[in-house]
Amino acid sequence: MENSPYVQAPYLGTYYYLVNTTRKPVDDPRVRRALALTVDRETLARTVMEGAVVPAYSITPPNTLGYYPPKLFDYDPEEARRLLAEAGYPNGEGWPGLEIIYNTLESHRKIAVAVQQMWKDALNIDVTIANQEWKVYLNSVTTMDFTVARRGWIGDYVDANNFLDLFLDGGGNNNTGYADPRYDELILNLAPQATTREERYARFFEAETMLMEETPIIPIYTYTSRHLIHPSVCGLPPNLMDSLNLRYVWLDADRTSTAEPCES
Amino acid sequence: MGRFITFRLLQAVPVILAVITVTFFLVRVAPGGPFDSEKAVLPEVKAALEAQYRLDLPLFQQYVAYLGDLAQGDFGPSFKYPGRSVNELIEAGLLVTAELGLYALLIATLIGGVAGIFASLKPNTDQDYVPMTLAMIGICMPTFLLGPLLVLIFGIRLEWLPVTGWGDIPGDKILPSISLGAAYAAYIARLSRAGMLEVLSQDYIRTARAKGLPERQVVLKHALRGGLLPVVAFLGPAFAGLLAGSFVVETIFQIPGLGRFYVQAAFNRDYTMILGTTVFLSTLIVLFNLLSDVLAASLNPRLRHQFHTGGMP
Amino acid sequence: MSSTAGELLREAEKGTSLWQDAWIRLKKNRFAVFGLVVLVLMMLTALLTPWIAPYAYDAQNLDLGATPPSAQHWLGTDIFGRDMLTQIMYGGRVALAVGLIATSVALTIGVTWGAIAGYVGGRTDAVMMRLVDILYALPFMIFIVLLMVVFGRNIILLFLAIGAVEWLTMARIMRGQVQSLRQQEFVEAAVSLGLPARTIIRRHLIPNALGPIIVYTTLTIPSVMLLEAFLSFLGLGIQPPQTSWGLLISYGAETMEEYPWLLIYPGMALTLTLFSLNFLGDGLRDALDVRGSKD
Repeated sequence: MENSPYVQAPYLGTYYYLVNTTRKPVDDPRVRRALALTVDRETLARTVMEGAVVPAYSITPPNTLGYYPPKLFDYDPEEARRLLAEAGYPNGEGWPGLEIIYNTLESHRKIAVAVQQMWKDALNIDVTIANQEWKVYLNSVTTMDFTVARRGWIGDYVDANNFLDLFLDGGGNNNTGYADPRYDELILNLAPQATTREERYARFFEAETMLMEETPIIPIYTYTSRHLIHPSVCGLPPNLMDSLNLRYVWLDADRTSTAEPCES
Repeated sequence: MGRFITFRLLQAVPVILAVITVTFFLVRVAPGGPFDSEKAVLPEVKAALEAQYRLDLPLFQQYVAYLGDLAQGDFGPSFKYPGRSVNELIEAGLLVTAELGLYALLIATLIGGVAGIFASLKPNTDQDYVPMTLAMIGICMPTFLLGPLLVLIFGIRLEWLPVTGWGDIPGDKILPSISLGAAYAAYIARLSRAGMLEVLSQDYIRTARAKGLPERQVVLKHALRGGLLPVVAFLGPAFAGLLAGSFVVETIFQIPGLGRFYVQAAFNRDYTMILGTTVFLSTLIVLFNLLSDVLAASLNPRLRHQFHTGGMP
Repeated sequence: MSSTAGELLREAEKGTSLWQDAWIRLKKNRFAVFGLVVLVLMMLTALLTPWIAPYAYDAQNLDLGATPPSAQHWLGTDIFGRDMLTQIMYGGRVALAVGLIATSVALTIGVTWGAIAGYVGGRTDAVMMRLVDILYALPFMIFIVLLMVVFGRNIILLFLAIGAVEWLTMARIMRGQVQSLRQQEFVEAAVSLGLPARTIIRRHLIPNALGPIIVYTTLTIPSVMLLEAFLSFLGLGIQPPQTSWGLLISYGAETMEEYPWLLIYPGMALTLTLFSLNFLGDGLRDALDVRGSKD
């Protein structure tokens, strides 16, 4: 919208579905990938989330201090059906059922209901959803008593490491059963030992690609920061941590639209 | 009369004890302990927390210890809000819920009672049908439907009344009280009508009329006492129902009352809070039932002998 | 002269059964008839829903989103683009199912309990009814909330929990009825014939106590439906993807500012159903001349 005071920018957080890779039927990476391929993130973002989020295809938010995550797939129901058939559930036959759990909140419910139907429509599989109270939900996640669970992760500092170290072997917040020695090696040793930022990011990229090839999580969207900022306010660029450093702000009374540059 | 009261009091004790026991063990069976949190807690920390709250003792010992605390009036610390005791929280919530319940009950009794009496004076005419149909609607429209509807009409569309809070904005107590009281107004209207109809057909009323007493005196001085008996007897169950209804109303209108605390405590697995609120509320209900029965019995001596017949409470 | 007298006599002898009498009286009560008609329509709709519903109940149309009533969607759509008329019809199925099943549970337990207590009398009766008193004093709402939170949302548990609350009144009524019937001569005759208690209860007492039982059953169903809606509203009853009027109202209340029809239509459906059941129950009570359980 022209001249709108609404400012939306990516935020350092990702909303995703955790997948328990030790449970049937999602112990098969083809099934997991099929599920990831049939979440129509663009439509979700546009309709259910009313355009207030950015579709995500990986765990790390884009442009995390110059780091961009790999995108291994897109919305592809055809490929998903092929994979599902290959995994032994052609057109949903023999599908044992799957349950998505989420902590009780209206927005989580909306997404779960939409995703449940997307999977049903595209893959002809039965999926149930269940909301759990916060405490119960946490318990389910930490004891890995779930098949698919809604999850969100907000970064504490602007660096991809913050997100990638979630999936180390035995990490307290892993909860997927994903473990790979090469991944651990990259994150724990090789990346920190890199001498340049490019090298470090390349290691991250390699690790994240490995991770998403296995699809132990189904990324859904990147959080956003949303504000209404009057055009006369200058010096408040959007940033991933959504820090509002008001001491650097000044007012340019002549500025009436965000298209004009700010003058001091 | 004294024997009646004593007997009922004695009857109340096993009930309350049953409530405590059942709730205690029910709550412990629930999955999800009070110390689960998002970032995984170290096992040592968790163990220390559990020891502090006596969760590491065998279940039966915990039960006995709890009974001991209860006897001293101590409901224990809240698990969810460390540093605050259940007693404090109950106190805070109780004041709010009691006020809400009182207003609702007043609305219910006054409006319902008057409507029912009014209807009973000219049975099977419009004066009867209109209030009774409204009453039926009141019974058939659950609180959780009426509340939002009232909010939609008076709060959002007409903007006459505030929609949340309690005591923050003048007038914010009106909608919740009405929402809660409406269903009971409906029941009371029907009860008072039925009671009045029965009494008005009695001989002594006919006598009073034959004597030439003005209708108002007949109704107010003679019929009312007997006619409203079912209403008085209903107050006990009404109170219990009001408490249940308060869960919903407090949730819809964001009122920090005991009902909402209870529901939240259940969801949060705050053991002591759940136990405390349940025991407290149940005791209140039992006592209120007792009070209402005593009141009814004092108005109608026949009831004193009907401890447990097929009579409605 | 004698023929008219004869005719009159024959007319008088023909008489009508209790049921026919009641039916005639019921028909005169406009409200009750209204309730009956609505109820029958609802049950038919509920039974035929899978065939007559305009859309599949889970057919989403995310781009459509919530729309007000229109030609394609008579009652509008919800935020997922699902047709509201269909949702309400399926919700009706659930409501009636819960109503009937939970009431049956309450009925079975209550009638049996009350019949035994009333028939056997004495100590057994005192104990049984004392138990009912104690249970009656328990604040069930509190326990049900706790039960559902603790044991999760199992639909069987829901039926049992609701049934467990409602059987008490049924037991009391049945006991009252049985007690008064027991004095009657036909029961004495059955006893002297040597019939076992079970048979007497089953074949003689229960059918004769049917009047009040029917009335209270008809009045219990709305109570049960209300309870289910209440629990679903709190999030403790029926779970999605199944739908229930309580759920629909709960979701509708959340978005009622922008999409009021999501609240109003399910609300009307629930209120109308409860209305009909209550009027029918009241009418039955008047028609069968049941004086509650006071006598």
